[in-house]
Order: sequence, then structure tokens, then C-alpha cells
Amino acid sequence: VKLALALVLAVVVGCAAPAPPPITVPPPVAAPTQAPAAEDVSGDVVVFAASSLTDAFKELSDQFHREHPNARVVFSFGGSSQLAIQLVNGARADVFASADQDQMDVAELGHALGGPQSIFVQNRLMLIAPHDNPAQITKLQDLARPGVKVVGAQAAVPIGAYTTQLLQSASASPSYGADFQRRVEANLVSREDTVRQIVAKIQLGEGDAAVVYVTDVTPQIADQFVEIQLPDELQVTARYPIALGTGHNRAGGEAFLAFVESAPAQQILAKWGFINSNITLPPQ
Amino acid sequence: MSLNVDRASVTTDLARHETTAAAADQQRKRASRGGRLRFGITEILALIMSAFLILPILGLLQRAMINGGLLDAIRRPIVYEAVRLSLWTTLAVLALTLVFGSPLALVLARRRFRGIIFLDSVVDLPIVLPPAVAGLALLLTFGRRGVFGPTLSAFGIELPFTTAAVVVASMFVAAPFYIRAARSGFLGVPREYEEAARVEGANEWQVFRFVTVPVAMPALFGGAVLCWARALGEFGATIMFAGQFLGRTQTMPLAIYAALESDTDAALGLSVILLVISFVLLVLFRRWLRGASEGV
Repeated sequence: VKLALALVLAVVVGCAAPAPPPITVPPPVAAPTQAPAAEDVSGDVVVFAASSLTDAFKELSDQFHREHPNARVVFSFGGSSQLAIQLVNGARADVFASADQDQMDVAELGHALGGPQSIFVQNRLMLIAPHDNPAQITKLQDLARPGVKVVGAQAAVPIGAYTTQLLQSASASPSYGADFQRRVEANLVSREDTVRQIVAKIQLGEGDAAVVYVTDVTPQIADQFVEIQLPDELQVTARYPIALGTGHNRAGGEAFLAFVESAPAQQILAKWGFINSNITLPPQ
Repeated sequence: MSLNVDRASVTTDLARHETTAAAADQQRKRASRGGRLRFGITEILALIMSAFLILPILGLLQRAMINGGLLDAIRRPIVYEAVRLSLWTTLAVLALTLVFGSPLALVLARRRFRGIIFLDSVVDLPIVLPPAVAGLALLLTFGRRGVFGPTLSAFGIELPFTTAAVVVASMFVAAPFYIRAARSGFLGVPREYEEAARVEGANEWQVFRFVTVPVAMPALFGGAVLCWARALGEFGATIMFAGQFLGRTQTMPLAIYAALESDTDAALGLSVILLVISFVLLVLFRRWLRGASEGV
């Protein structure tokens, strides 16, 4: 009986020691006796990521799994503002990647971060329309034309905040007019919760035009859109901060953070259109 | 969005069980005279289940109480615009459902033809369909590129992103609750009553108006309340088909979702308002049932 008790204890201690994430593959039977290597990460790594990172991060997770076969990345994609609120209200994530500084700050002020933040990637904006371009959008000015159905985002969603910046600087330029922002906002037909929902509304042809990230029109869906570049002097740079959360798999989170900054990961991000954080882009 | 599905199935069960609630009450009254409640395993499990159902409501109310800014929040546009929009769109849903749903319920209850089983199931489908699927189906049918999109456009109608789209989406998911209840109500009307009225010289409308409807009234009322409550809580189909825009398509559930990110007080205030409305609706519903069952 004593032996059995000791065994049970050993298993319990063994399970408790490496701080397993909530839902995980049962640890190998031999785990308690095996001294794990210092950098060996295992279990689920819970990553909360801005919806614009969806495709790039999915590919990243495959590469991460190749480098750390015992670990598996579990994503929750959403508007950064949604994710920040979930984190502040007690959701556990090992990593939080936000599309803007404001929402990362919301998480930090809410004590939902477990380490310092750093900018890991950058992005830019562009204008999209459905492939048949029913409102004949060819330039930013067209968004202010009466009757154009512009799809936007809630104010707290990063793409919404960046779009506001873009419209403000356009309104300051004489070629757009001081009321440009007001006229575009009068054309808004919906304020969506994530940038990918904006893309979907344009893809379905329900909206005439929207401002999204250049990374949102992925090669698989590119033929369903007309892409319109913004003038350089109005371009807005989106800087994506990343930080450890307060999840159960700290080692996993740290490994993912280190991986995201590595050359192979940055290559994957670049493949999906993101810009390395070391490249200096003109501030808007 | 799966939340909505749960809600849907819960409310259907409610409809089914509420009809026997009055009878159960009578039984309980008799039982309670028999002595005090015994505390066995059944009661303990029942207590746990009740706590599980009540605690989230208390949690919401408790947070609302300690938040001083609640009254202030109710005066914000996001709150009053959402309340205004929700009230009038759901009343429109209710009116349209009564006008078009009652005849359908009558047909389902009375007529026998090939395909009625199919029609019967199709009418129930939106109850079990995830609201997101309903939203997508509506987009692909009535959207600009949908099956009927070009036809509607020809008449200058573009539904998505309009208040009409809110009504369409809510009606699609809520009307079946009424139609179901009305159908069973009509089924419960003894044909002899109607025959007697016809013998007395009543025309079909008079039979319907003065015999069928009054006898089926408890079911019709119950179905209407559930339909309204479901429309009031509609989220998934609306956000997909109508989008969300202040004062135009942002109903109370959508406003709660949006406000959570920027204005927690407003989200709490709206939640409390919805909670109170839903509770009052349920109480009305039970009172009516009790009154009706005592009257018969």
C-alpha cells in the first residue's frame, strides 16, 4: 500500500512540477524520472493573436512544432481589442500578439502580461474592393463619394484606429479636403469586430470598399479583390507588439517568443507580406 | 454564437414544458402540504443545478450594483440607440410573424398533403441551426451577390447593412418559435367547436376569429412571447447579415459585444436592461398560462 501511495504521489508531483497547461496530452509515463533538458518545451502553447496574423501564424506554428516536437501551438485569433479584454478578464494565454500598441497597453494595464513587450513585425495599409468593383473605386478619394458602401471596424479594433489615422492625415491635405474624414465616415455601413470580417464583407461583395492591411489579401483569395495602394505620404505603419501572457506554459511562451524573432520565422512572416521590425519605415 | 443555439433549445423546451407548468404547480401545492422537504441526493443535485443557473445572473447584477456609472451609462448613445433599435425591430418581427406565421401554423395543423412532413421540419430548422449558418444563408440568398440579390437590386432594394436586414435576420431565427407553438395550439382546438360555429352560420374568418383563436390563445400568446424574446436576443445571424452600425443595425446584443471592448459600463447597463426585459417576459408568460389553465 505504501508503495502504491508513493507511486501516486510521484505521479501527482510529476504532473504538478512542469506546470501543465489546462488541456494537454498526458505526460509520458517515464516523465518524473527523466530530467528534462533546460530548453525542452512541451505541451500546448496558447497564443492569442491579432486576426491579421491568422495565415502567417498558422504556418509559423508548423515550423515551431518542427523545432519543438513536444510542443503544440494553440491559437485564438480575434480582434486585438477582443483578445485584450479576454486577457484582462482572466483568459490565460502564454503569448499575446497585438496589431497595435493601444491594445497591448490595455493588457499590460490589466496585469495580463508576464513579461516585457517588443515589436516583432510591421504592416501597412491598402484599399480593397470586390473584384467586379461595383462602386468603381480607384483611389482613396473615392471613399468619400456619396453612396459608396465603406466597411469599417469598431473604434478600438486596431485596423479601425489605423484607418482613423489615415483619414485624419488625408483630411489635413488640401487635395482631400478638411471634411474628407467626415464624408468617408458618413459612408460607413458597418463597424466589424476584426479586420478579417471586413475582408469577408468585401469578398462577399456586400461592401464596396474597405481599408485593410496589405497582408489580408492572401494569394488564395487575391483574385476576388481589386487592390489599391495608398499614396506614400498618407501610408500608416502598423507596429505589432508581442509579449508573454500569464498562461500556464511559461517555458513554451518564451520559446515561441524567441522563435518569432528568429530568421526562419521572420522569413515566413515576410512571405505573408509582413515587414521585419528592424526595417525603418517612414513614420506616418 | 453557439450560445444562441443553447438558448434556442432551452426556449423550445420551455415552450413544451411550460404548458404543463400550471398542472405541476397544483401538484406541488398538494405535496407541500404533506410535510417539509426531505433532503436527499435528489435535492442536493437539484440545488447544485439551481445554483449553476442562478449564479451567473447574480454575478452580473452584483457587478452592475458596484459599478456606480451604470445610470450614467444608460444615457450614452450606444445604449439608448441600441434599446430603441431593438425594441422597434423586434416589434416589427413580432407583427410580421403573427400576420404570416399564423396562417402557416394553421396550414401545418389542418392540411394533409404530400411534403407536409418536409415543410414541418424545414419550419423548425432555424431553431436548431447555428445562427452563424443562418446569417451566411441569408447573405447568400438576399445579399447583393445572393440568389435574389440582382432581383432585389432591380427594385432598388439592398438589404445587407440596413435595419430591414436586422428584421429579416431576427425573424428568420425567431418566427419558428411562434409557428411551432401556434401549430400545437391549433391542433388542440376541437374540430366540433368549429363545426358547431359553421352550423350556426359563421364564415371561415368568423370561425377562425371567434372560435379557433380564442381556444388556442394560450399557445399563441406563449409562442409570441418566446418569439419576441428570441428576436431580442438575436446575435449571430444579425451580425453576419446586417453588420453593426450605431442606431441602424447595432441591436442590444451587438452593442453589448462591441461595448465590452471600450465601455464596460455600457455593456453592463445593456445586459441588465435585457435581463430585466427577459425576466418580465417570462413572468408574464407564466401568469398568462396560469390564468388560462384556471379559466378552462
